Amino acid sequence: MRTGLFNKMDHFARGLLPLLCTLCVVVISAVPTRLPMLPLIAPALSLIAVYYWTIYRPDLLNTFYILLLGALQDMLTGSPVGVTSFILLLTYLVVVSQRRFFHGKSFGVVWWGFMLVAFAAVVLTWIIHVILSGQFIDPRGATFGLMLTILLYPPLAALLSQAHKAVPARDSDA
Amino acid sequence: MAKRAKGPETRTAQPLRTAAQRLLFLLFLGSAVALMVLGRTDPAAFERARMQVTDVAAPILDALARPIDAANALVDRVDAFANMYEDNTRLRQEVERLQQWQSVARNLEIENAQMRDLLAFQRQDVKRYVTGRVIGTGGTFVRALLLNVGTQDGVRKGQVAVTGDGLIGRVAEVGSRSSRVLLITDLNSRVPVVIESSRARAILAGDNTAIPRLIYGAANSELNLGQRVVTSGDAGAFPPGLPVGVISSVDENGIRVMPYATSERPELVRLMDFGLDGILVDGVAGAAQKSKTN
Repeated sequence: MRTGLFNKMDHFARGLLPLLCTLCVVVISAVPTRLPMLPLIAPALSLIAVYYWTIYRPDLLNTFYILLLGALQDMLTGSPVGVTSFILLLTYLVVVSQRRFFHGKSFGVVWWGFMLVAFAAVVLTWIIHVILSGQFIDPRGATFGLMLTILLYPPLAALLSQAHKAVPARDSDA
Repeated sequence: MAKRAKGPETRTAQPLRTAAQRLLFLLFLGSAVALMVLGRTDPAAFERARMQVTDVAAPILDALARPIDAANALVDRVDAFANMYEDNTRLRQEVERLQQWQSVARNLEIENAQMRDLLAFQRQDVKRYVTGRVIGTGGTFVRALLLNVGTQDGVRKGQVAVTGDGLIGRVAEVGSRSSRVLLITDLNSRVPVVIESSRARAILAGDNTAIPRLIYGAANSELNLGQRVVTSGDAGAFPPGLPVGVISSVDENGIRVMPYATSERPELVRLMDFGLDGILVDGVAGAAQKSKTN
């Protein structure tokens, strides 16, 4: 770690990568994609990003960022503000407590962990929306969204791991 | 941010280990809950904040949506090419059928004109059109579209959103250069409608599925599959007679209406201003009248 100004800036910028990646993912998830068979489904892409960075670099995607990113996503999609923040923060809490378990494990194990987290997150989101709207919501849309989210984890995680390579290494674990 | 630990095996990088970090986490989690509660009790305050954020993001979303639209157009084109022969045959038959309708329509038009003269009828015409590109969608629990037009293009709250097929929703929130259309399939959407053939009135209630329900209909009204459903104009939120959809199922689970505008993600949406404020009166609206007419 050298002290040149450029080096410092470079280091700082690379440290922002997890935040920027997640920001991109949040914006992209609001863009209209027209999948022919799936008009009603929105995968929870931000959940993937938060899960990934919480396992590998929770220091770079801190809880304050997560709060803001969740609120931004809610604002862009028009859902009640705070719901996504709440879900993502809880995801952070759960994953951070288990992250040592995932370290050094195969991709399959990490993906399996994501399935459990995504399932819990979608169920909780559904419950919150039912409470907030005061009426029963057909859970099918959420179920398909969950399946799509789980299927999209491998490709998105592959992209994120590319960004991960550019992130400066931490001195301690990881 | 790169908060780097000095030693090789220090624990400072380990999150939620110190009391301060835990306290911060709880504070943020509490803020998220507070936001949810506030959004429920004071939606108006959030609406403004939301549209300001959306206004800032609109150009980015617009730029991102364009290549996706282009890709979709390409897919449609290939699709159209593949189906050319069948389409051609079908269209020929349709032309034949429509020609018969045309003569019927001509006769009716003349008859209408004569009757209108008799009644000194005043047409409730659309005051203006604004066409917006779809640059964003809602999430799994929100059926909404974000458009790249706002007050500076003449969009006002309460304007009716249609595609070529029929009604899709109305403008629920408007920023200076973006607006959000609440679709008729959304949980919060309620549209006063009437069954065209029987004139039975009901409310079309969205429930997040593709086929909204008909509720509060007159108990003894006769409902059959395939009956046309149009807006009734009650409550002044929608003009009467806009095509909405057809009744697609009638059973113990309720009556469902398949909207004419089945695509939940159209590329272009037309907003029509009928000068109806309805239930969505907005103080700021009407300030900018520089309309992007179509």
